Amino acid sequence: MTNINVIEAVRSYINRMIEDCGSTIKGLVMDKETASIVSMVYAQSEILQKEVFLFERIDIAGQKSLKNLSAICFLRPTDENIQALVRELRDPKYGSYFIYFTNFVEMSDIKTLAEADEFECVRVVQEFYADYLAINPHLYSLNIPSTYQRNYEWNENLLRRTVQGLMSLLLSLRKKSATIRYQKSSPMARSLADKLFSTLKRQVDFSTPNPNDINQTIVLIVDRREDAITPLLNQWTYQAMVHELIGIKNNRVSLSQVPGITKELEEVVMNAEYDEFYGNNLYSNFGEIATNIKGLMEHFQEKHKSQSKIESIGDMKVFIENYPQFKKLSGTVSKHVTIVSELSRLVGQYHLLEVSETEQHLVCQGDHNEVVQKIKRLIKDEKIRDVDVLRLLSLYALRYERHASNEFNTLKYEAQKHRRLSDKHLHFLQAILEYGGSKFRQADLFNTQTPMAITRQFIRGLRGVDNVYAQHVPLIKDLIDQLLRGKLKDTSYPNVSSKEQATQQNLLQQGQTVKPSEIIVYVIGGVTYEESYHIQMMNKQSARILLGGSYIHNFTSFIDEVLDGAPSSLSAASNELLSSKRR
Amino acid sequence: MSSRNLTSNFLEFRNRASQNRTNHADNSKWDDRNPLLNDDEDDDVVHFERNDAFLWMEFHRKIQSQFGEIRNQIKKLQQLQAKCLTRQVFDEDAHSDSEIRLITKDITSMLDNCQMSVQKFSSFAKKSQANSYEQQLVSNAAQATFNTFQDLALKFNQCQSNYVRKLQSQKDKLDQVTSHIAIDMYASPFGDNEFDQISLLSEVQQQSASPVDEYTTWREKELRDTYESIQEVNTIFMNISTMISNQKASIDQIECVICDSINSVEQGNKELVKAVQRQQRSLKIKLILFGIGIFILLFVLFISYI
Repeated sequence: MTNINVIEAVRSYINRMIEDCGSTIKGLVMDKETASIVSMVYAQSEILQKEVFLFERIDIAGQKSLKNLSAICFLRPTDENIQALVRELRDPKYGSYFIYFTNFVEMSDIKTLAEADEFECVRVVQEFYADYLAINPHLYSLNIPSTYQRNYEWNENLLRRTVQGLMSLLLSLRKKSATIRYQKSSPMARSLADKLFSTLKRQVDFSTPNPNDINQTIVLIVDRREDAITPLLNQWTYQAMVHELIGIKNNRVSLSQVPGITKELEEVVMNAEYDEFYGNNLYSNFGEIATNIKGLMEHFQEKHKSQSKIESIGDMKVFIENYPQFKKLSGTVSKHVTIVSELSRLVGQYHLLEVSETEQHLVCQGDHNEVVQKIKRLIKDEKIRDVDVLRLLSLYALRYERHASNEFNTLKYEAQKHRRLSDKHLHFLQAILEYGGSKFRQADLFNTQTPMAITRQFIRGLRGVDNVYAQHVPLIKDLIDQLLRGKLKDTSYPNVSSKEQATQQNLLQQGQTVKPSEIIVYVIGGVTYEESYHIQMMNKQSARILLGGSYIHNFTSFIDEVLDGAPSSLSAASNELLSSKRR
Repeated sequence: MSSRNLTSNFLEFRNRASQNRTNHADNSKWDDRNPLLNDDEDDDVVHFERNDAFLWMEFHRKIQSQFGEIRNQIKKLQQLQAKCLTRQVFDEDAHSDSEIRLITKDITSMLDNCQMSVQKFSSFAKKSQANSYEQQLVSNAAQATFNTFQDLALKFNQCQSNYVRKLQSQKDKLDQVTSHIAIDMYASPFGDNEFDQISLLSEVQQQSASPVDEYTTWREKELRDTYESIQEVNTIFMNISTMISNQKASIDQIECVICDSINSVEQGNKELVKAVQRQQRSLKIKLILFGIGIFILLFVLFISYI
């Protein structure tokens, strides 16, 4: 069985849309979200080859008529889109319309559309469930930057959007039944799991699988608050590092801040499907990248030298044959060389090696005094960024929250003395304890709770590590390990099931461990590329795991997420301070 | 692939809606009292759509059919070449050789025609269209056609060069084998030194009898080679010209944008100068009015004092 691949799923939907339309010239009409969805999986040159020559948005009003074209409308079933479609159909621009919604649409909306279609230009109305962004074959996201509302509660619209996204994921992967397990300690996870289960049952007659069935799919819903450490760390694998230091949005990287950048490299596309070097080096660490870039450069120089030797007709022919590939290669090489040189400049400028070593030490080893001295030294060092000091302080707060000689306040005082941390950052320090502190989380993030974990930690300390910057293992990996072996506790991660099935299952599952064949994970509050890396390593050892979240976070977006979810008392104070500052 | 087809529901709703519309339609408009033509507005005068909209589609369709033909011919060429490569080494089949040459000539001339049409299409795309949508549409179509043409030309070149390379390697192998035979023949068991190496080799390799025939065949071969190499040079220059003309399009665009921005900046400059002058004038007028007001005030005071 091949691995689950969300990129293939979305691409096959789009291919089907284009084929069904026939061989006329086509225009693609999308809304803001579906435009991102399509651009993640399809390059423009490829889609042009399929005779789709025009791309426009449904909400931006157009002009004259294009009656010789057919329109492929790929839209989310929201009220605004339905209204815009009604407006369009009353005064149609295109010759014929093929409408595809990304999720379930009510019959009343279909009726409204039918009544508006006076000129009878609509040929097809279908539901194609591609309602999520496919980033890597095993990684998806719903592009919701901030899930939590005040006091860590659901916003109705966001809850609906999340349920729709997850449903479309399951349907696009052709799943007919799945077990939904959620994190018991999180009320948000519980409400999401319940709503997902009931909607699936209602709309598609989804069933919980027969326990004796060998192919079991499990949907696991967890909360980011259980593991607030992973987004706080500095990263060293290529994709994660670029996102942390520069920022990847919808596969696009903006290099406009790089000194001395040429105009054409100001915004580049980093897509692993179309860029071979990037695809091979997504998960290689910084040292390996440097070696591979050197190899790529040498390969390119060799090609360049052979290109410039044009003496005989045979050489000219060879040159003409290889020129288009050569041009593409030179574009790729210059892009990656620029990015890697920028990354190494930032690493040198901000002393990220030292910072990251301290972070990993703080998280994975237990030497309190040494760590406090190190942090104090780094606070005083002017070359370290405020952001990195903030990272260290929040990690310290989470780690030594219950420690006897907690020096958090001293450290905060030192930081304020030597640097001017902004108000937003100060509130973040308060909010992070509310967000992921020991009051809420159940998991043993630092291997200090069970004696088994402590001994494991001790042995690891004695043995020493091979890569000091990659010591941390995110919580999600442990959870999935347990789930694969069928040992994930039912008390902390129960199933969602209706009442009649519960008793049936209890009778059948006395002492029977369920080992799933496929796992689909959704993290409320977002995932990080580090977690994606660990999941991909597990997938390479023939697991079938799909990871996703509301957003792919780096430290900056995580700060906003935490501050948005903070309880009202904290945020009211922060609002007051901010508004007084503005005045 | 899971999906749900709602077309039947949609069509049902639509039929129902259209029936409702006709049942409740307002028939007063079709009364005999209304005139045939409303002569208050001339919006109802019939407009014919510009034919340019369909012109580029015709172009596009023609080019696509040309591409299809070229693809078929290339496939045929590849089959013939495969046949030629696998035939018996000493069996010189003049017929399939000439067929290959014919098809190659055909494909080259078709590529020539195609290139002219693609260039015409690109220049048509650059002309300004009815609105921005048409503009983008036509330029996207031109870009896609250009890419397909480049891919086809590349494929043809690769096909030819692979064939030539394989032929060359076969010939090299043949030369090696025959030179081996020559050596064996030379090293005869009688060790006769009077045997001339060169004449033995040439006898074995060239299968012609008399020197005159030899000369004409050699000459013909050279001429054929020259002809083919000139054709290859021609295709190479064609490809270079397409590449350069592609860059020309973007340079033209850049120039256009720069001209536009120069115009707007100059206009902006003029407007600014005017604005400054106006401001100064208004300031002067205000000062004069103020002076007059003060004078009147003083006059009134003077009179009241008196």
